Amino acid sequence: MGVIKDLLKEELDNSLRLKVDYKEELKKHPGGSIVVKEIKGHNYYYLAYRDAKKIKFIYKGKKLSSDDIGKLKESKRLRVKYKKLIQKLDKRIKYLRKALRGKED
Amino acid sequence: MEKKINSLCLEVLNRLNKAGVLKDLIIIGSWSIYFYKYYFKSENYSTYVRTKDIDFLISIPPKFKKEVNIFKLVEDLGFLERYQGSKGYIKLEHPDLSMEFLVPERGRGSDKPYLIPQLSINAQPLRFLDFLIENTIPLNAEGLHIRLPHPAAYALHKFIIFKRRSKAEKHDRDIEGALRVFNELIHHKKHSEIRYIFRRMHKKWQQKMLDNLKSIGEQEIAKILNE
Repeated sequence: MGVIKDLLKEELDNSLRLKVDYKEELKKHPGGSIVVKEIKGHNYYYLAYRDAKKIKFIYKGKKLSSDDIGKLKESKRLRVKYKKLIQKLDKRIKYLRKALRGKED
Repeated sequence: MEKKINSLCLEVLNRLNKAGVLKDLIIIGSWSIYFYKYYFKSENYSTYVRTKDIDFLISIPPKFKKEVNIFKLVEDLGFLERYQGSKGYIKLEHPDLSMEFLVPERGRGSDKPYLIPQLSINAQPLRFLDFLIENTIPLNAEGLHIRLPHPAAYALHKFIIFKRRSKAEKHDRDIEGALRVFNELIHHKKHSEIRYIFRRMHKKWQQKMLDNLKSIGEQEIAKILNE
């Protein structure tokens, strides 16, 4: 039983560590959308994203290159992926904690 | 769960193959057990793998002709690039699969990471890996051409290294996996191949292995090797 418990404990520690890592990665990929504001006949591009209850706008410039748009799309894709993996890890952590609390035969 | 892990592993291998680097990577560690099903082609052979880690062995000096950033290749699958321990060995991690890179340790050895700029990674040098590089087999697995250690080399290598494991779980896993593969080889009457590979091994390693087998009460295997 000791070996199995060690294995579950190791998996739990790994899952917790990985969850922290994904949360850190999420900070690098704030998500959001590009919005265009027209001011006095000129277009200005902003990245709009939600930070808690506030919507924040980060000025990106008067023009956006296809490279910038590509990077943003990739960043959004990664954000969605990381969020899904965090959900998966949450389920795994819950399961492992339950298994480790279980009585030994 | 296992199905998902297998499909992720195959996706990673597919991408490495398309990038032209898979042919110069040898899949070692417990994942070899899974892929040996394409070697044994036996219904009774259990492919169950108890680890998420897939280890890639790279012969040195590396032969890669193309430059490929492996992390970038798999980043969109959700892999994170992490640096392990005080030495900073690269590990690509995903909740269902972790990728590590190894090279053979030679001479007096060094625990410094071995840089492989062609793949934008570093690799951990470990003892006894030359033995695996010298005894590989090509396999066709689900449309992929992969390279693995010969099953006999895999089992014999594990019979040497299990004693070096500090964690009981890894120690037991090494023995269980090695016995599973070894018994399947015996079932397929591959005695001569086992002995051929055993005899190619350094005398000191042979002795070390026989001592290790004795310590776990597997004298029968020692007997087969010495026949």
